[in-house]
Amino acid sequence: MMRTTWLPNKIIITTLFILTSTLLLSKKTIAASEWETQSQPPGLTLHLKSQQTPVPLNQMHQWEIEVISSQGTPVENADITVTGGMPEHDHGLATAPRVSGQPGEGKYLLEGLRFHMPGEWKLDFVIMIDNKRYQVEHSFSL
Amino acid sequence: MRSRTKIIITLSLTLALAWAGWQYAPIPASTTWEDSDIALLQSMSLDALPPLPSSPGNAVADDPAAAQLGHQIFFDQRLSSTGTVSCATCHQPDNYFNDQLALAVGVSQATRNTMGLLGAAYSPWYFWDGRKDSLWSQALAPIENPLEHDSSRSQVAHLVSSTTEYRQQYQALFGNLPDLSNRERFPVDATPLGTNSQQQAWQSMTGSDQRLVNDIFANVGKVLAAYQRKLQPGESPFDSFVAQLASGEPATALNSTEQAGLKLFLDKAQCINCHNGPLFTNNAFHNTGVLPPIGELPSPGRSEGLRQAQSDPFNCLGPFSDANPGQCSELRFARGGDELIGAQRTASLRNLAHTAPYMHAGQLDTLAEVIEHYDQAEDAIFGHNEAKPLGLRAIERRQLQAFLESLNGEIAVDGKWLNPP
Repeated sequence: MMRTTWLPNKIIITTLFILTSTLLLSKKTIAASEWETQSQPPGLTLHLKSQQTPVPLNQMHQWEIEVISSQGTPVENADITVTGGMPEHDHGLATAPRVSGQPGEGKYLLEGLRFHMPGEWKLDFVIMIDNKRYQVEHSFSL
Repeated sequence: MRSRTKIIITLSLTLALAWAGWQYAPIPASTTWEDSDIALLQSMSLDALPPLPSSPGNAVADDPAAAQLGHQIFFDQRLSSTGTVSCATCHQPDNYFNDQLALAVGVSQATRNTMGLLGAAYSPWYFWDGRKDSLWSQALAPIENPLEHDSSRSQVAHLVSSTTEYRQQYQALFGNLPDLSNRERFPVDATPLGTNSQQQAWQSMTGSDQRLVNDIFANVGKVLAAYQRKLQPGESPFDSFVAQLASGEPATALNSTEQAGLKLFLDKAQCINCHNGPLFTNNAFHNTGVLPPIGELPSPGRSEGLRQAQSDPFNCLGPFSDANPGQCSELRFARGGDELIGAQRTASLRNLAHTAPYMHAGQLDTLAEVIEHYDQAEDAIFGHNEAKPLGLRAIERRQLQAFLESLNGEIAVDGKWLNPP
């Protein structure tokens, strides 16, 4: 009896450990307003940086998105769209941010961000490269 | 049987007493404030209010001569069809630029609660539904609203042109006024938004003459905005309390009940989510399940307001704006859609005791009713209520109200701006 319950438990715990480790490793906070995160499916690293530190409340501002391939090279000409919101309050972003420029070296300027409430925010990035779709979910606290 | 009755009575009394105690007995309120709390409170103090934001669409926003002309026009009742209504009819200086009415009354009763003007220049959006994106553009709408001033842009242009002192001041600011004396070319009462006869009169004008009148009308909005940028809220007991906390002095400007209310404001009651910053507003749009006035359809709110702002010729990107498109980020990156159905703009909580009744159509008479509304957070009948029930005890509702009443202060402006010139 013990063995039959122990085996599934071990599988569940191991799976949870792997999932948690993957999640923890997939996101790195570099500074209060700068993060590095991995795409799903894997293949891209996104370096996200607010141009104001800390991320301001109630102020229109910009972020820089840097897209790096698994080979470590900057990715140009990606088509990036951003949505998001506050899951706790069941509402979306106050604004409709858009990528408005590509200064080069895999960098993209994201304009039109304004976070109007303190709390947990989620940004969903969709990155299209040569018809291949990557996703990045980025959560942070304000 | 008798003993059973006794038990029931005793139990009922005990339960009633326990409930009353739970609801009304004050918990010894903590008056200890952590450093992180003090930092948050400092972000809500008037000391943290940044300099006035620039108004790129309005080249005369900070021109003293424009403020002077705007001051005169603000109080001028000739800007109405009846000669009895000015901006100051609803935005009364003696009432914190409010009117103490549920619904504004111009030439007749309007459909919205008057919004205060103190600190209004800090908002990127105007009206309850955000259908205007600047203070100067907002100032134009009541003038042509048939329930408010019931005037028209051509009447405004003729008034400026024919009043010697307005004409002189206007020309010093904006250059020569066109000659409007030909009433065939420039009808006395014409607007594209008014009655059939006003619209026909407008359509009879050439495009270039319409442009001349629109320019004058927009410039009147710009001088009114230059005046309104002077209207700022003054310090309240809350601001003195924050200054005391920050300097380490005994923090006595708020009593223990008000401090308990402040703690609720930041935490359990979640008011800080939307009423944040030195003006206690995020100037954003939220559906909080406020019922429409009896017999009226629910307001579409921001979902419709943004559509109007985007198609408004007097917006930041329009031909009458002095801004370049890069300076219109609020309008360019505004987000609309069905999620904003029924969403209204967060109002400032400063001088709250002077601005009753509350909500976009003055549906709630007292602060106690407002607190009850957010405490219950019932489902919205139109759209989705973002607020969640708070579970406040009766004593907590009173504490919260006591704190909200500590946000009253003087108007921080030279007295000359508060009276007709």
